[in-house]
Amino acid sequence: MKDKTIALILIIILAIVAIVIGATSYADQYGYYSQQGYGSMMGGMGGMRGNMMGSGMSGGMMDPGMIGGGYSKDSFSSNGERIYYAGIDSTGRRIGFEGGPMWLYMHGGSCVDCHGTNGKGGVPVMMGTAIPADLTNLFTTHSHGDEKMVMVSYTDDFLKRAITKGINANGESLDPTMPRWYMPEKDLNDLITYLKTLQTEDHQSLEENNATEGHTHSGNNYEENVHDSQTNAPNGEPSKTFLAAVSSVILGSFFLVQYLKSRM
Amino acid sequence: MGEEKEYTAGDILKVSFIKRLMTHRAFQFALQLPNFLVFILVILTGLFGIQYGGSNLSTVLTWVIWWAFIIFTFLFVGRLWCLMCPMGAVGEWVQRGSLWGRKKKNLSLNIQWPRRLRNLWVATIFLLLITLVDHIFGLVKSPMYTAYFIILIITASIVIGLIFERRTFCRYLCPIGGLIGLYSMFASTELRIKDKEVCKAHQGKDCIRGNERGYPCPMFEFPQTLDRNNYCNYCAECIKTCPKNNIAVNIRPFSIDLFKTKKKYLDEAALAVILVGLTAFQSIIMTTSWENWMKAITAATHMNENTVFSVLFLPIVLLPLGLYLIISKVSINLNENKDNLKNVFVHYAYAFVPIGLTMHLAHNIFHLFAEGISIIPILSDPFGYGWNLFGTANLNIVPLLTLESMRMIQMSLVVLGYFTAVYVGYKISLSMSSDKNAAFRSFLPILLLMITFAIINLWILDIPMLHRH
Repeated sequence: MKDKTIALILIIILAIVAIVIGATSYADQYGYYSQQGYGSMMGGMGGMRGNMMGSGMSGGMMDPGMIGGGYSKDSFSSNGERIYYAGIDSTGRRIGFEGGPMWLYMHGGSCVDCHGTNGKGGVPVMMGTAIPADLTNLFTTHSHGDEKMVMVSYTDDFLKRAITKGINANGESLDPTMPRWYMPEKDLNDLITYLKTLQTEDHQSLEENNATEGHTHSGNNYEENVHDSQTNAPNGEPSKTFLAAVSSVILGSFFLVQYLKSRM
Repeated sequence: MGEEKEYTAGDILKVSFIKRLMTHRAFQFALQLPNFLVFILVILTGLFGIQYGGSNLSTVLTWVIWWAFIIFTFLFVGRLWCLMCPMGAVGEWVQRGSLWGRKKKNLSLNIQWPRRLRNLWVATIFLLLITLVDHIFGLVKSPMYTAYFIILIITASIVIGLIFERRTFCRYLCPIGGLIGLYSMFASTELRIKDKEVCKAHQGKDCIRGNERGYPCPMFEFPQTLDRNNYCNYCAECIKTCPKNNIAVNIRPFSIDLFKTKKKYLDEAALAVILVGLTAFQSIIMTTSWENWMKAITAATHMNENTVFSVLFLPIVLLPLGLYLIISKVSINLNENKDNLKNVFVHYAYAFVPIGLTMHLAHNIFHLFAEGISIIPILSDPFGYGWNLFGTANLNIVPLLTLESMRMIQMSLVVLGYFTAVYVGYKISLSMSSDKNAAFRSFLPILLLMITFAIINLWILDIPMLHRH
């Protein structure tokens, strides 16, 4: 009888958990979690589902307001542009990678999802641990980030190394947020050719201005968006699910101890 | 009349079709053959396919699908995987000189495994070693290493099978054998005898000697005293050999073995708690926080990442074991029946199995539902040569679950595992002491440790993760 009572309690807990999971999965399907936890950095779960992978994948990955609007593009002017936008190579295959944020594995994505359509980066990415770099000043020596660190100019070879091995022009390892892409030489060359089209003509003079004003290239962009990042707090704060789970463990234990004590 | 079971269990062998199936000599081979062919494909794609883990069948099928999925099977059907495992199968085929037929003589030297090594210590060391090697050399990311690893296990299975008797490799050496055994104690199925008196009265003991219908138990089990799932792989040899029709395959409540069994051993107890550390460790190293900690430590110590990882690995994985040892001592101090430390340590350790198991399942939810779906395009191009065999190579795949749903399932699993652990611990405490108050006092520190582990696991699952496969 005692066993049956405890088994019954466990079955009730199981049923409650199943109902909660079922209800939340249903809610997810319709995007009700769009403003919570990780979802806050996205354009809503419902929106996310539609465009996860393939050439149209970047449309729903993030809030369109984050980096230059939606990325849906039906045609590309070059193989490099296709890689930058869709992560698809000239044969139509998805380009492999290692590292990077988890959503990249789940929902696909490419350079544009972090560095934006204009290549300026500067906006914290969901589940990322670093601010995406500004790709519009790759070929000049410039200051970098708040630390005024000097980043030497990239060469084509340095860029290939950064894309495939995650090592920057200074020879330092890039943050794991930057995926290490497995790309054949031809695709690498095509991508670099496309990246060159993103370089701003006046970045040298802009750099000088920023140096005198105490900014970096991406400074304004970064500061504007860091506020959003902090208010949405994708990292660092415990999720509601976690708090609910911990509460159930602690409260459940309290009642369980009382129950067991009464049985003993 | 047979003895009455203390729990409800239904014998599936009462269904004549299932019984006919399981008593057919080719039953096991029919399940092994398809898996063997798949493993051959895994080896070929690993050796000759594209050397990028995310696009090669060998790595995705082995580490993302197979390894993630079989943990779920242990939950329901125990060691069913071992019934069809092609790695153990090849060793057995070579040893018996037969694929399914009953042969009187075999090709093995039939040496007995040394008595001192008849435990899980060697298998546990292998498990820890493989985990470490994986992180240093990137085993799960490398198709070629994956192929070599499978070849190595098959070779070991053959060599051990030719030297030692029966399935010595599976019982004492398989790196995941101990883990599977402990998780199987949780399973909702069991192979047991129907009536102990029938066995006692029967002098032939065909189940451990074998007869013309079947081999003696390959896993060295004696069905008459079988009271837990740890080493039974449902090969059905005992069902074939039993002349008294006294074997049942029961559907039963979960986790019964963890507190009902009278057979409890130090090696299994240690592994049960190590699994709590190992499953938490495997999850924490995938988090973004781990990357940052590693960076900070490598910068502070000027050591490379592999050295730091190797130095930290054992202390972190064995930390729960150390804590549990201390708590066992506290438990004895609170209990006035002066139990010895080893006894308390061994008995309560089995209560931690649901915590390790559910964390393992939670970890694998990500692999299966986030990464696993990538198998669909890969099936069309298993070698990564640009093929499109089934027209799915360029398919746009929608993940099965959202991040938030996955996290809820993961945390629910951990919470359920925790409450099951408490229930098992409570039952163990009652079995250890006739004084219920003393039993409660002895269980209290164990309960606090369980709460700690559960909250740590929930915290780990709440940290954003980077996938490694």
